[in-house]
Amino acid sequence: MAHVVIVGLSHHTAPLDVREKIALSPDELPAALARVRAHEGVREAVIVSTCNRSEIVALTDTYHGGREALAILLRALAAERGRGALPDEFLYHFEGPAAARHLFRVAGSIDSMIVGEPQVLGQVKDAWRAAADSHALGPVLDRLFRHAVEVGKRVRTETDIGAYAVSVSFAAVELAKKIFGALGGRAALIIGAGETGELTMRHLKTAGVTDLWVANRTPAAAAALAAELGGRAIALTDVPAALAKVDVVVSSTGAPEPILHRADLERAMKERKGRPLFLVDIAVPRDIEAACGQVYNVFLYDIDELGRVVAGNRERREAEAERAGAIVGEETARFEEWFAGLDAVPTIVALKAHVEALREGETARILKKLDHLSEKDRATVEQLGEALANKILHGPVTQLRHVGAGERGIALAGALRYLFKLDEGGGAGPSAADVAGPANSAVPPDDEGKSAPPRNRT
Amino acid sequence: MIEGLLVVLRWAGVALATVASVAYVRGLTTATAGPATPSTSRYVLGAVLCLTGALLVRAFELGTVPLVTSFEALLFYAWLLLVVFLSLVRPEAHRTMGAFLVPLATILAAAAAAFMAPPAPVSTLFHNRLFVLHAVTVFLGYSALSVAFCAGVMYLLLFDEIAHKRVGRMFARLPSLDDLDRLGHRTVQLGFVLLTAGIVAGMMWARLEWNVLYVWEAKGVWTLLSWSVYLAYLLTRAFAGWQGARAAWLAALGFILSVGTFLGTNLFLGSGRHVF
Repeated sequence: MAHVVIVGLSHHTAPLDVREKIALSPDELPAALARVRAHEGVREAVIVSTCNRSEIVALTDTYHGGREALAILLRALAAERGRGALPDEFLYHFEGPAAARHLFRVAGSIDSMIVGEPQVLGQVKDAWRAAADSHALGPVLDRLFRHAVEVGKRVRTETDIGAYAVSVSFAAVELAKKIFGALGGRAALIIGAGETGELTMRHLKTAGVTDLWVANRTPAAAAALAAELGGRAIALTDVPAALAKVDVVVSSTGAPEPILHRADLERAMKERKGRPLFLVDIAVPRDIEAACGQVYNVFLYDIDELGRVVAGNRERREAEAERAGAIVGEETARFEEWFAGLDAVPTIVALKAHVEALREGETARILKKLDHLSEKDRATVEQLGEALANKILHGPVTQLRHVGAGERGIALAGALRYLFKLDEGGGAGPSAADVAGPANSAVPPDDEGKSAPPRNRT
Repeated sequence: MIEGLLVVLRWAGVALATVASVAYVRGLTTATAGPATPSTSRYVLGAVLCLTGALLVRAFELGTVPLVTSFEALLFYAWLLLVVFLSLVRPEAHRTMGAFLVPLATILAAAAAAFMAPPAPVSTLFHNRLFVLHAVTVFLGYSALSVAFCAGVMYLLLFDEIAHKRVGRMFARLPSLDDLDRLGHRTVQLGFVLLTAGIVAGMMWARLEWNVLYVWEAKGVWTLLSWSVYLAYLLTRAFAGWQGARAAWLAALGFILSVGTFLGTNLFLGSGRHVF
């Protein structure tokens, strides 16, 4: 029985300067995959490499051999890239069900640095495609990665894992969307030139805001940013008047005193005829007087409040990650069932070959003794042997197929192999699937396979 | 025999609506893609079909619209809410709107189903076309105003989270404040027009039957009061910039007054032209 083995490193185990050295670009993947495949005992391989993780997923003949081979390859990569020796504790490894579970957690973005981030699913798909293009893929890993992508999709549709913004700038955009609905046709104003402010404006633009205004103490800076964003520059003194025309204000100046006061907002809201206004104050000290938030239909968030939204969202994502974990558990069991089912086929083939060999041998021996028989009677003896063999095989074969995968199937297949001595050479037939290794036994339920700590380090 | 059919139909409708309500509420309070799948709206459709049957049977018995007794009217109204939900609410919004509108309709339908009595002989008064116009228009208006009420409640739940910086479940699930506000506005406009038309039709009917301009009894007075709340909604919104939370409060107040008027006059007033 072959083994699915994963060896890798990620933000959970290795510091950034190690991860960035080992990360493989798409151009480097084919060569690396070829190296993994060239290793003896490695049947299939996929390399998942992102800025936060590099891991080799492989189907190997033996677990320990496979793990060693993959670790050696990662170490070699590190050495070639000037990282020197890679300490053991930087690497994690998974095998069997734990490997499938790990890959499903990765695809479901549960294992990501920012839980629920949407990129990783695409990265898993890319890794799968790259392995297919390099002919490093076989039926097992193909199935495993197809399954992983399905799990990733299921997690995203059935949980809220990606529903909550976890950066200040995105949280501000999410709030704007919840206040105004679709942002197309809305106008936004940025005051000052803080980095988060600019980022928020860019996100707003991506979200559909078409009319972008920029105000700055230095007109040249305002003009420059306006040109970059494709908006218009206004003077700082024109800001109070602009409040009547824009829907979102992002303020991040270095001014020591508030630049917007309650009276400005009251005036603006009168002109707006009650249309809501969303103020985002990410400056420290604050640019917008807190009392502005009390004006009817003005929504004011300062940097701390946005920070609290983000912190709450992180917690919510963690909670969703637990629900996603349940999905991963279910899917891991499904994959294991399929994987274990692969083992019934070679057992059936081996059993058939064994009985067939016995039939042939015994028929020949008997016919030799009964050489006085007519041609017709000889045929009858042959038929007797065949009928007997088929009747004997019918029960176990159909039962084994029926039970199929799962623990019981493995146990029954094991019993058949033991009782008919199928593993002792001689009777064993050709292995049915390219994937099934020397048929010693089913997946050994060793510690790592069963208890499956999410991040066990080597 | 026909009463037995009626009982089966209305309770089957209530049961189906209950299943849908539970699914929608669970969908809102638990998972994103929880139990409220597109199939949930099929339960609503089933409930609508059962209630349609029940109302047709009753209309056949009465020989006029089934709005003669209060519990018939209530059942008709619950039915109308579900029809509005299926026909006017966009399928994408079913999950969120369904969690508010369908339970409301279910509770009303259950109350109606529990207390509906076999029909008494119908006064010839109710065969007048003006009565039919009066009753049907008023109830159509109330169904629009119920949607406005639900939109208002949803607005206030979401507003509470955004204004008090406690974004959470509602934030992740409800449509935007702007969408809810505009839905509320549109449905109040529609409901107000229908309610006004219904009141005018009622006045014409009263003039014809009793030669009075307006029926100044409790129900008439209270109806006028809730009507003025909706008038205030439209005026403050147009002239004082009262969109958003204040509008949502007014829509809720107007609806609570309307329901109170309907139930109050029928439960606590012994007699009068509107007691039915």
